[in-house]
Amino acid sequence: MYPYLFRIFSRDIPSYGVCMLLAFFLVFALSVRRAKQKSIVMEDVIIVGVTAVANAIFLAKLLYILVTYTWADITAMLASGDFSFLTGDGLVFYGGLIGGILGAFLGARIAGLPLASLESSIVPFLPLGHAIGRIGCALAGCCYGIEYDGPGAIYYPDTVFPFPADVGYFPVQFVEAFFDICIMLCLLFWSKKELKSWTLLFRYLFLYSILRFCTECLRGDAVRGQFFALTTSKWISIFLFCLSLAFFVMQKIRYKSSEKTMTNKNGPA
Amino acid sequence: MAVASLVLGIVSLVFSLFFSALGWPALLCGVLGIILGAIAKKKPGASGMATAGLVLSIISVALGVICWIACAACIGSLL
Repeated sequence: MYPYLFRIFSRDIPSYGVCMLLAFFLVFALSVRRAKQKSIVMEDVIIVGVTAVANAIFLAKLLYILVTYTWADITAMLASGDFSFLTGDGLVFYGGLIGGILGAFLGARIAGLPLASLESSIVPFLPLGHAIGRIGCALAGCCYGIEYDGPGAIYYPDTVFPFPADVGYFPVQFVEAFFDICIMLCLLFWSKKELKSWTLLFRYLFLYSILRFCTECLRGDAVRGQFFALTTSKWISIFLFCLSLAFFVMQKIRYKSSEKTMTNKNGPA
Repeated sequence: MAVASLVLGIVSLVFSLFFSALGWPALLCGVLGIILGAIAKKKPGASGMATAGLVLSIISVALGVICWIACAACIGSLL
């Protein structure tokens, strides 16, 4: 579609980069606005956010290198002074997810505040950033759908990937973006209630894992490998789904047990 | 810390604008500049130097995101 949006000083500006930047700033701005209502300063949100994102990109890159190259390749390239694999294309979102969570804890430590205090300020807007990123994917022609020639099919005559010009693809990026916005609206609704720590995050992971599992069937860029007839993304979605369910069950058990304790303390009415 | 943020912001911006081969080091300097600038701004009596360092670092990181983290990052994405 439109891999480059415009040209500045003889440099083509990639549309995905612009979308990522827009996503970062929008999520930051909305998170800061929300955090101010809880008397959390902008600088704390910046520290946590930047640390999380930087760590996410670092681990995403590291994991990409580890799954793409063998150790012998890496040492050979380093020995020959070829560092292009460190700065070239490719990130693994799974590494980004882990890196982002670890980075957020580190950022909270640096800022000197509990990460849970920022949960309702940041988590509801993560799907929004994701949705904008998906639009960027559509513009660049990556993360595309299965071959499809019905209404709304997307054609990629001019992208960074070699697509045949006359083949249409399912607009899975826009479908994912739409449902990401729906998830954001649900999270915004729930964030107004008094929820226990991490409930909002796990509700997000629960909803997203279902969305991702379903849209994976509509993806045409299955270069991520398969294990026992399921793609890696589907396995990750199943893992996140089970993890979220386990969290909700544990919460319910703890709530019932604390209710029982209160009843025993107060005695029968 | 404000001075460090300003220096990192300037270095990062110079790398971003004039040395395209140093994209990732520029991003790293920019990220560190943002964190140090934000920490310096939180302290009472924060100077304009902290703000300047923070702003320069943000600009250089923004340039880095646009110019280097392009959609080829999607290749190999597992989620």
